[in-house]
Amino acid sequence: MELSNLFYFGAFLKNAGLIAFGGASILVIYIAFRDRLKRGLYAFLFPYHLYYSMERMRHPWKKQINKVLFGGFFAFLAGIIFTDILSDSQQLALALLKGITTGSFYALMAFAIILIFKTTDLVNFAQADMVTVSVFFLITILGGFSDQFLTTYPSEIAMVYGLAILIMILFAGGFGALTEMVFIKPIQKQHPISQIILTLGLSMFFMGISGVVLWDQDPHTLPNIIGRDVYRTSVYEDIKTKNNAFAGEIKNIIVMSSETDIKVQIDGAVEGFKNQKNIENIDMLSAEIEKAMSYDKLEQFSEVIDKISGLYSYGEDSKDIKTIVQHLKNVKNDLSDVRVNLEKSIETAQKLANLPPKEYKDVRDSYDAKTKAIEDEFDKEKASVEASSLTDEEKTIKLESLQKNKTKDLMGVYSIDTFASEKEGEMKIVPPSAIIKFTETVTITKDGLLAVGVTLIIMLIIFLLFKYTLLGIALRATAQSQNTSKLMGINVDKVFIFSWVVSITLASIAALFFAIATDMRTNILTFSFGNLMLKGFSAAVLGGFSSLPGAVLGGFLLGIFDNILSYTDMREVLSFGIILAVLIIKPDGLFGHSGAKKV
Amino acid sequence: MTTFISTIFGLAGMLFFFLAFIKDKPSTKRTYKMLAGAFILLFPFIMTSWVQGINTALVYAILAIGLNILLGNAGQISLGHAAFYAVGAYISSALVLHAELPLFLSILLAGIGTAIVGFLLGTPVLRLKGHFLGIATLGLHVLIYNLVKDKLKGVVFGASAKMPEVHKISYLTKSWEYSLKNSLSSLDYQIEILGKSKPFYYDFVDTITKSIGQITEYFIIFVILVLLVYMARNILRTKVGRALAALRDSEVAARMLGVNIAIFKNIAFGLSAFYAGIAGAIYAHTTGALDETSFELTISLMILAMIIIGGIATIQGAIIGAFFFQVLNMQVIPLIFSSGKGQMLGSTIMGLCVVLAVIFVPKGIVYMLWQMKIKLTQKRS
Repeated sequence: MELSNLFYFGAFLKNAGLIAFGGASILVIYIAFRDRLKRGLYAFLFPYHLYYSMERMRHPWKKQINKVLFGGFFAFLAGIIFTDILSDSQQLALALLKGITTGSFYALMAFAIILIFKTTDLVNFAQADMVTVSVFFLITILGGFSDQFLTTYPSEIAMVYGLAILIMILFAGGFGALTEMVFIKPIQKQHPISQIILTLGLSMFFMGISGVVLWDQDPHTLPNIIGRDVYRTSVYEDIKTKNNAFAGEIKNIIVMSSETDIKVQIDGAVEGFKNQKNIENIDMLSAEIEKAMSYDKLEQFSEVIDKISGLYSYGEDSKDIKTIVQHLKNVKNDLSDVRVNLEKSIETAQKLANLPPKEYKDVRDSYDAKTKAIEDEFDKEKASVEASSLTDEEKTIKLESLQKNKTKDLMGVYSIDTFASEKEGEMKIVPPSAIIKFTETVTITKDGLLAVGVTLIIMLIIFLLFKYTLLGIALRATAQSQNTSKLMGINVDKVFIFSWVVSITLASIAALFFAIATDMRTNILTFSFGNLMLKGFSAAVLGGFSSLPGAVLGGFLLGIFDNILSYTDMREVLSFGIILAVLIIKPDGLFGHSGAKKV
Repeated sequence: MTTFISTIFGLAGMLFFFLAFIKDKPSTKRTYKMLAGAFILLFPFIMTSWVQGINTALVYAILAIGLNILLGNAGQISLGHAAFYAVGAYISSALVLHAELPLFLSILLAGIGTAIVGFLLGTPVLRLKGHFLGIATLGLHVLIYNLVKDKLKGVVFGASAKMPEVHKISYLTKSWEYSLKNSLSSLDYQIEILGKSKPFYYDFVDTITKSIGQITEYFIIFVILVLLVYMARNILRTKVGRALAALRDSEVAARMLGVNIAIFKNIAFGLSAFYAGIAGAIYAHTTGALDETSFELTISLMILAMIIIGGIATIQGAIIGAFFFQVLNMQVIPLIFSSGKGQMLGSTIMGLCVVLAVIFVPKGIVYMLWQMKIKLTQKRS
């Protein structure tokens, strides 16, 4: 299909969806209003009644209206996507490819969440943090091998990696079982809100434990599975130490230059004071300033200036004093400017230290070029001043001011926000051997494809397990009714533990692939709320919380939506918008079914 | 010396509160209550270094009381309460900066505006129950948070992202600060130029001058907190409170008894949003610069944890939880960790406390205090 056709189709969808949505809403409001009119103006004041009256009314259109509302909303969304985003077929292809890979992580995560929910009637809000513990466990195992091993025996690395992943899976399973036995079992019979709060507490606890006690909050790199770049970590560390050295260098330059700058300004202030002889207590003032000069820290200096200006701001009317106070304030402002610059520059230096090699080289090259330009200009002007026919005194003054300008310019170079995004230090370098290129822009990592394959295989295994084994039958029976299955001789406790083991394991695998296949390096927040975890929730809700195949489809759908919208600033909002919209308009999701509720 | 005095003073204050709670005889109870009141009044002048942290604790207490109405009294969970905190902060800032309303009116209006927002947003979300309500409110938080972060921040504050000094609460006593500074500098002059000896009250005046803004904030937030506690107590004793309790215990039974579930759920959501909005407005007028990290999901979870640890469905519990958290963060953790890991460690300990509380003491510290009271009175009789 031609793109222009797609565009018109999209515009049609958008308008039709909007009309359907609006029309259905108006209809609903009209019916509700007619229904409510008998009971007074209540309906206008409390819109909640709209829903209730909609649900209660014995109207044949009711279900149809709901469907029109739902369909209209999604048609509108699709229309926006078609008209505004898909102007480029390559972009679309890339979005679809990436969408399927990320969708597989979301699907696995949603699957894991639903598995626990179906068997134990509990949504595990601590899933993400338990997964973080597992993945960091894997990183620790890999970090245990010496660089020498990793560089000397490259052919054995795949085996080592596989073994490590196996250990991680065992660990995750044990971790899940332990959590269920220690924390979840005592509150199995309690109110859902207590259960939510307990899992939230667990989430905070595990997050803190992994961030403070066991590991740190720095980003780590998980090596690729395919693409054989395992010992990149050691190379990276090597480059990082070099960068750190460079950062220290920059810091020294900046500190020195700013110190001379401050000295010059303070001298100016003191001179200003000494020229004003007619003020009383001038000795005390200059003593104060002398004292201030001996302080190392800028803060104390500005404190003293505050004190002085406080001393003379009130009660006195002399003009000279006012000018002097003004002067002092100016000096203080200049100083704080210098300090801000200093802090920024140090930050820049630290950022540089964390930059991956390639970007680092670019940035450093650009800095070098700028520095060189400034120094060249300084040399030129210096030469011209020295050649000119001025007295020696004038020459020194001019040279001093030139030097001052030079340091200022140099500081300017390092304190510019050259970094487009803050997250550069957290980006990964993907080796070329790990990427499949379809065209120049449409690329995918091999690990992403592997993740899709593994997800599908896991789904197949779980499907077979549920359908044909005794354990699967026990799981399904427990999901339907705990009491009946107890009466039928099923050990419900064991089933619960098993479902936790499977769930945490699957979620860990999802998180592992997520960490490997995305561009970001892994830190303890990678999987937490707002990232993988809520995407999993979103996928689960989209597919209907009660249906396992629904979770898978919901995951893939969400992944595709997510990547298509990643070109706009809607991305973050979208998945939660989906949660809200689905829960409000069609609480059972796309594939779920609502059962009778217990009272 | 000052640390010693402030420690003794703080412990004595805690003892007064405890005794006022334990004692049953009206006259003794009144005495201890008056002592506790004196402690509250004198607190900022003696434990000046604590004031800033306690201000934060007071704001958290307001938030926790609000969430407690929703969670403890109405039985509806909200994981996105920090979003309403943010909404209140931004509404108040916008009113002050663009409509140029007076400070306290804008705080009140921020509360009311947030309540309306909560009422309207509660409409769709509150159809859900239990775990799904948790997920949906989580989604609500992320939506509002992103809107605030991307869109609203620039609109309200412009490029500078800061509120002028004039609109802060501490500006109310700015003139006192100037006069205190003036007298302090005249003291300086007497000491350093005329060579007089240092008067004994010099250090005291010095510290008060430095933190007069915070002390003002302390008293004002405290008064607001008292008003809000009074309001919560009264509301929970009326028809609304009883309806909410019925709703929490069984929705079906409440509906049978003629409680309009839909509206009362919305009212609970709106009420707790009102508290969150006022807390947010106070936060905006104390810090002056709104950073979106102050409205992250962690704040919601922390407030939830405060309620669970302090005691669910009681106003005292919410306040105790807030103070527990803040004292833990402010005084205990720096003893263990001096580096930047402190914040994270605080949340870890809170998480552990929540888990232990849910399993062993589901009703929190207040419940433990009640049991202690019963034991003590039994022993005596």
